[in-house]
Amino acid sequence: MINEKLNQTVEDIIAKAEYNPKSQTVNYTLAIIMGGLIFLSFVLPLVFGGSTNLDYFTFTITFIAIFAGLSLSLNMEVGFLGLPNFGKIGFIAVGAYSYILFVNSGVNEILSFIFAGISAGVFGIILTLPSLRLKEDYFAIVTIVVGEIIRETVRNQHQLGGFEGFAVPLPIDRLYPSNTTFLQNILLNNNSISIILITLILIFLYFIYLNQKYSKIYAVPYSISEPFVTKGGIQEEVENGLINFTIFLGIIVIVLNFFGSFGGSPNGAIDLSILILLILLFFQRNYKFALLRKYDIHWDFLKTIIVFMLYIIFSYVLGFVFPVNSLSTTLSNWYNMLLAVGVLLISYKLIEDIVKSPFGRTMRAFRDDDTSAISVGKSLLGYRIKGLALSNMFAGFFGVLLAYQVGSITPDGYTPTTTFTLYIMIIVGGTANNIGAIFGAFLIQLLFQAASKMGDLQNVGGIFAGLRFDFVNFSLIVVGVVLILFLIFAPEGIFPEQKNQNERYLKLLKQLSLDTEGSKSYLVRILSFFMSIAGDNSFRHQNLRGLEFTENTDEKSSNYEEEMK
Amino acid sequence: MENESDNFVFKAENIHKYFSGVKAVNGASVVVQKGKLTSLIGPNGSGKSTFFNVITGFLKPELKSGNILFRRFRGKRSESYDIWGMAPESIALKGMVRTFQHTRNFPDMTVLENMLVSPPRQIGESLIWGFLGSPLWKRQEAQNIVKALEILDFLEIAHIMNNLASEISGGQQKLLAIGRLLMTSPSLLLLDEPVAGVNPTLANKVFDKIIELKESQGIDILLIEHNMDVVMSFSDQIFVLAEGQVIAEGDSATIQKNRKVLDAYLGESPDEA
Repeated sequence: MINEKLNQTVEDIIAKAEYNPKSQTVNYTLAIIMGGLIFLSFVLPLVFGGSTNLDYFTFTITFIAIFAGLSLSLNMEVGFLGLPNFGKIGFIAVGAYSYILFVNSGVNEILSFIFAGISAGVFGIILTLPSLRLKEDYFAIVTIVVGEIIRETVRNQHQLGGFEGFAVPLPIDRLYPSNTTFLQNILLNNNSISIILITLILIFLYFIYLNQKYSKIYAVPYSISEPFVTKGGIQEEVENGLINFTIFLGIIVIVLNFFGSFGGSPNGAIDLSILILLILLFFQRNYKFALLRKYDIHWDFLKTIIVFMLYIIFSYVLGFVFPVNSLSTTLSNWYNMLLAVGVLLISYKLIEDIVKSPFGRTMRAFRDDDTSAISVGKSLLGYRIKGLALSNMFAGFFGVLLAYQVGSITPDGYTPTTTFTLYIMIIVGGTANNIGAIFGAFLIQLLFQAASKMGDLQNVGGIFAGLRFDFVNFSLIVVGVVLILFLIFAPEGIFPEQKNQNERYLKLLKQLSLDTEGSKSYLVRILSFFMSIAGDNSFRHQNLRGLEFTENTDEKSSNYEEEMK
Repeated sequence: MENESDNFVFKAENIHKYFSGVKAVNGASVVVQKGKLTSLIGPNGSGKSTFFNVITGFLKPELKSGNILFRRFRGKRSESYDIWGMAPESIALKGMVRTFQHTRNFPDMTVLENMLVSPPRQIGESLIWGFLGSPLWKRQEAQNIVKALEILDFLEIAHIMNNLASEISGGQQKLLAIGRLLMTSPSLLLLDEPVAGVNPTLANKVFDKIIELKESQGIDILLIEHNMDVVMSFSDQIFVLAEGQVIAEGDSATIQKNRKVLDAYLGESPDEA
């Protein structure tokens, strides 16, 4: 039971401190200027060049998603764990190579994909053990060497593909006979309707389940009509749960489609609709739509339905807009894009949750001062192992996606340049900020793609006819200048780290102060039972209770409480 | 009823630590009795901080030269641990935590978040529960926040809880360091110069807080301090270290009269030579 007096004292304490939101600034101006300029250079060749094709879009979006995922992974090491990994490309290579080796030895493609992530994670652990005692700069040297060792080993090992490497077949390619048109595949068929219905039903059921669960925990009256009506504070938890669930579900559907698990009839329309839904929910989760919140209707479920209806129209339109010839590459690119964006969203969600949990907080503590973190009982080895394993698992996954996109795995595809590109992305976007890492990847990758397309402008003639130089190399110059400017004028990047997170903590306190003792969820009760068997009693006293600095004696702490009053 | 040796909370016997020939700690023995504020003093270079680093596991002691015992009282029961050669984080988890001579907080976190890092065995610190079990750890988190707020209030730094740790003053840093230790529910605090570089008024306030902790919470304290005024007025037991050895021990009156101590601080007096 909550002691009201205690609550009052806590509120008094909170009232003493003034909250200064000034420390949480985002360089929106910088983001808009940079993003706008670069996007312009991306669109310019399309407008004037006349070569409007879908491949250019899908190709660019896929690369953005893959590099965003890789920079998220690097950001977790550099920004949150404080370990400058300059051998990132080595881990990407480990993921890609283990995928192709598993596939070539006859393992299922989905399993190989998962194993690739695990291998890269295990490789992260192997790297941690000898370099545990190293300071950051020496760690950087070790990792850059490791990355090179991997590349050289693979190049000289006949069994690992040697100099020529491997070709990476896309699972989706097997499923399309050569005479299928893009239009045919993007339209509805019976399969897709049933999958949409199942998705909607599952989302609805999960929503009801969450409502019941949270009504129980927070002792709020529950009714079946609630999924459609917002009820104040607890709704946010439910919403987050719903969004997470939908994201997971959607990505599972996309992945299964990619690997052709629905009886060999993948459907572009389903994937497209789910992708739109995912992106909508993703933005809903991170940037609340103020407009929709004005009404009391719960929009998430309705939005799901609306999106599913819209996609039918959209898919028809899309089918007519794009030319029917050269379809097989278009479709492969299309599916690569869906897969990459889906995996990016799920990775973002996982990494963001981890970073905001106590695990992430202790990771940042080790980054700030490892000795101090050890002195309050945190294990440096444990955190480095877990952190490096996790971040490199994501590197492994995105390594496979990169291999899909490039189409082959060769040692020369894994040069240290990629690592440095990733570093530029997180420096420009903002270190120790996940949104920043994604935005940085977006900017830099867009710049590279736009530059390689700029050459098309020469065909237009007029003022563009004089542009007679290599735009790919030109983009490197631009990126270099951008990096230098950022290091001088905005060293924290476009999205600086949010150092002050007290708002989140105080909100949590407010949320849970509604809690009462009798209404623990069954999950917590069952877990506390098993944990107490295992000897961990941390679950037992889970209520906000009086102050005890130490476990020494009951008399003494009660004396102290009296004294405090 | 109980004799003194039964009532110790910390006992280090015959500790040696050499740095390539320099005998930084050379057979020092220190005992902390339950309920007695114990101080470790000595001139610069006498090996106080090295002694601290050895007993908290940050430096490995020379092999087979002594033993280190730590005892935690829970009500009337007590548990003894042999912490010789243990990893520093395991020693901290046992309930014996330390501060550093140069205050080490987490500069890029707020004062409140600094406090929240400390609690041992948090559910959300597990990688799996971190992202799967947020309803599970959020309760524990709220409980920790309440505890942190009350400790900050006790230390009178609650008004700066929204500031980053790098933005607050030196004295507040020292208090925050003590607060971070209190979040671990310790039974023995090792404070390495808790009021170094702090003005006398604030130094007295810090010591008042330390005494209050000892009296009301039953937390035992072993401290290193150069400020003789506060050491002499607050300590129950004083150990004097010089050249890695304990040259005197006793209460403040005994120490003040001790000839050897004066010699150690001021150099040997000519008539003795």
